[in-house]
Amino acid sequence: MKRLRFIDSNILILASLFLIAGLVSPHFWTPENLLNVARAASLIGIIAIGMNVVIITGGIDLSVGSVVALVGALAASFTILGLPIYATVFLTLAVAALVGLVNGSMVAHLGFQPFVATLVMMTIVRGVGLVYTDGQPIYVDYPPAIEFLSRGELLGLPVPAILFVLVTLVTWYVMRFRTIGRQMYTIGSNERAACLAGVPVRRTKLIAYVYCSVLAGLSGLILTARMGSGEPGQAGVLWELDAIAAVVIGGTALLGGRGSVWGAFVGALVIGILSNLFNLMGVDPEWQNVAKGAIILLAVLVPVARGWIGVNGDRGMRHG
Amino acid sequence: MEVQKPDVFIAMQGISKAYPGVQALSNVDFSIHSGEILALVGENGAGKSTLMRILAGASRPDAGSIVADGREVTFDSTAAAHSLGISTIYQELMLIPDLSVLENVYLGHLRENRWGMLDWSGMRRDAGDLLSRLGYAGSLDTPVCELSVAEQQLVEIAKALTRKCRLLIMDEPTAPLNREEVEHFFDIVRGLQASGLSIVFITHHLNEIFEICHRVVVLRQGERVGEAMVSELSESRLVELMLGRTMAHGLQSKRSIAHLNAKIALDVQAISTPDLLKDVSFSVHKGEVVGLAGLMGSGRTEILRVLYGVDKPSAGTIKIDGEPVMFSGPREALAGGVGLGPEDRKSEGLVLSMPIRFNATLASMDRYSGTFAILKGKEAARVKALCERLEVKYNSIEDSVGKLSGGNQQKIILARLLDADVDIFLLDEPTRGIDIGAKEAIFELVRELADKGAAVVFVSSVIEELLRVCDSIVCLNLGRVTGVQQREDFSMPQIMLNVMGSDSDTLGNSPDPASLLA
Repeated sequence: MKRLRFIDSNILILASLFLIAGLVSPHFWTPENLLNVARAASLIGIIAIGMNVVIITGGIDLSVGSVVALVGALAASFTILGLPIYATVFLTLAVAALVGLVNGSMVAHLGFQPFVATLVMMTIVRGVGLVYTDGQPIYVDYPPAIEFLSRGELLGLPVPAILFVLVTLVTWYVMRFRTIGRQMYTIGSNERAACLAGVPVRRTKLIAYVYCSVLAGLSGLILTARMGSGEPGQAGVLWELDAIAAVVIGGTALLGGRGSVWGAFVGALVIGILSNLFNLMGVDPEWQNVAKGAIILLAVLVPVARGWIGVNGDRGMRHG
Repeated sequence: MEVQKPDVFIAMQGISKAYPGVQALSNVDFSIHSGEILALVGENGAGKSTLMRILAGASRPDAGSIVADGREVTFDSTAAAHSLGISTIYQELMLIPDLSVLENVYLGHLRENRWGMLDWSGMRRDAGDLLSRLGYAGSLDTPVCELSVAEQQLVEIAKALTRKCRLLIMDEPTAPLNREEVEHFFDIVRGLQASGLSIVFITHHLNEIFEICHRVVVLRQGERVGEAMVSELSESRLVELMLGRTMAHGLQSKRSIAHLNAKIALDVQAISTPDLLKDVSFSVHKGEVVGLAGLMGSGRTEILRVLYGVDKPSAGTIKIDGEPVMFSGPREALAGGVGLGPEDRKSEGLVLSMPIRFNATLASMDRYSGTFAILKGKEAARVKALCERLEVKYNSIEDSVGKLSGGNQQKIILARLLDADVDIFLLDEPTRGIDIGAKEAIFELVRELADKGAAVVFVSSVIEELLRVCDSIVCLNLGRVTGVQQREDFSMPQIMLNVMGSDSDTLGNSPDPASLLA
């Protein structure tokens, strides 16, 4: 029952937005535009999936936007240096993992508050990117294999969207069916009880942060491939907030322990559709922010409002 | 310790107070003389705190009157009690951790000068004088969270004294203090008494009563059952008053003492921690249930935490099956066959929002990790079997564990330990806050575990429970072992005395409880 209701509610939100968007702007429903939406939503979406995992453990990761920028700068620079494609991909993702490792260690081993630890890394990582590139964008002609990450298509679908769906599926599987997924929910629900019951709290948190950071790195690779440049200052600015917004729209509690992977998936799509719609309608970028904020508020109010009208709106007991 | 001819400051007469389901106080007379130190004693639930709450104006009696200085008064608020000079220092100190010593001393009654500005220099001068007389050597500007508990207590006392203060009520003030701090504290109390203050201690500690109190009033089950001058009182007489005749039962059920021939499963040798435990030693055989008896702050929980690897001892060794071990944390402890049922079921024991199934297998997840997914079928079958065995009342194992009653929640924790295959069960207050039926079930289960060869360490604040379920009882006071009794020698008065801080056999070697109370 419960599961059905949650799928309903998420799909309901998405479907109604789809409908409204089409009615407001007929161009929205063209296949070309829908693929654009998917492509654009994937960048934030992939990050949101990782962010969702961290938030479920009771943490948060503010450094993802900076990771996007650093990975882009490094990928551009490595390509110019002539590193092979696979080395470029591997090394940049390894750097992203390293950032996650530092985030996770600060939280799990040194006891920093996740907000503070990742705020520190957000600033440092952004700075490292700027230092590395002297603050200048690096323009580069990526080899086709990397361009494929952003512009490629498989079976008529954009590769970023395919990656987004794949990442969501894998994460859903792990969070729902694997021990570590359950342990993440447990830690987020009651860390002390989890610890006393022998759950490896530190290791599990560490993995969550590394995973989130690697996904941010993947998103960074797609972005730099699309732009044909590494932008240490401009890329990924405020993306952490978009990712958090997607997670919140999806119904994940920022307190941890609750939330679903598909919720974050839908949340990212909602944000993607909104941006697209605003562009189609020619809304000023300034007003777009205001409208986006209002819609996030609306999404968060839905479960609260259900409580007001007495419908059991407990979106909490979703695991996976 | 001779008191002058007493003049009565406060006289409470015929005080009654009922809470839903409990008659907390019935027709209690209680008086306090000027300049005396009075001990108010009784078992948990005897009504001491209720009586003091009424005196502090925090709670209103259903019946009875309060006379102060010969005039009848009503306390409808703590402010009314304050205005008569009655101050209370609760066990949980009422200080604001991040404010300075000075700010805390004047909390709620900041002084203003004639222009309506805060008179910090005056307050600083007076608080400084007062605190230095109390023996506080630190700065007035230190945030109180950086002070030791003893120093925080001084701040509380100073806070009371900067108001008009004629009566200071203190709830177990020495419980969190170490030995030297207690001595210093006693000096301060004597000084306050000499300056004419009346002091009431709610206490469990014999040394408090016999070293500094003049008079003792004993409550039992909401009634005043005795009163005596300390100089005319023996320790055993005091315990007799506290226990009444209620203690005879519980001793009948003789059990086999087969475990005495069994091997020692857990051997604790002289463990100490920096802040509390001191040379704690005891051992648990296979098949034996060992009770830890002690008051709050006696170190019961701390011992279990050390055994479970959560805290590190500063000295001592722990042996399991003869092998020295030192677990780095719960994970290792579980792997080594040691499991803990934490004291606070809701915040430390269970993940309330998660299903019964998840909670029951939290410590044994590895067993259900398949190649591709958690083996849900196997897990569900196992959890159902465990629930059946422990007679848990539940609808579905997919319900959140928070929906279960306290007793059933406790059973889920036991189920978790069973599923983790532990041989040594550390159970911290497993019967707290659960109904009688569930308690019985837990007792039976613990006995059953022991009969199958498990070693159990059982903590309870209720001595009767320990008498029922344990094969031997280790008594603790302020982090020290003050006595160990085997089942055949169990004596409630002796345990009570040891728990209250009296060492060894004050009552003699083979006390007959019946003769004591005759």
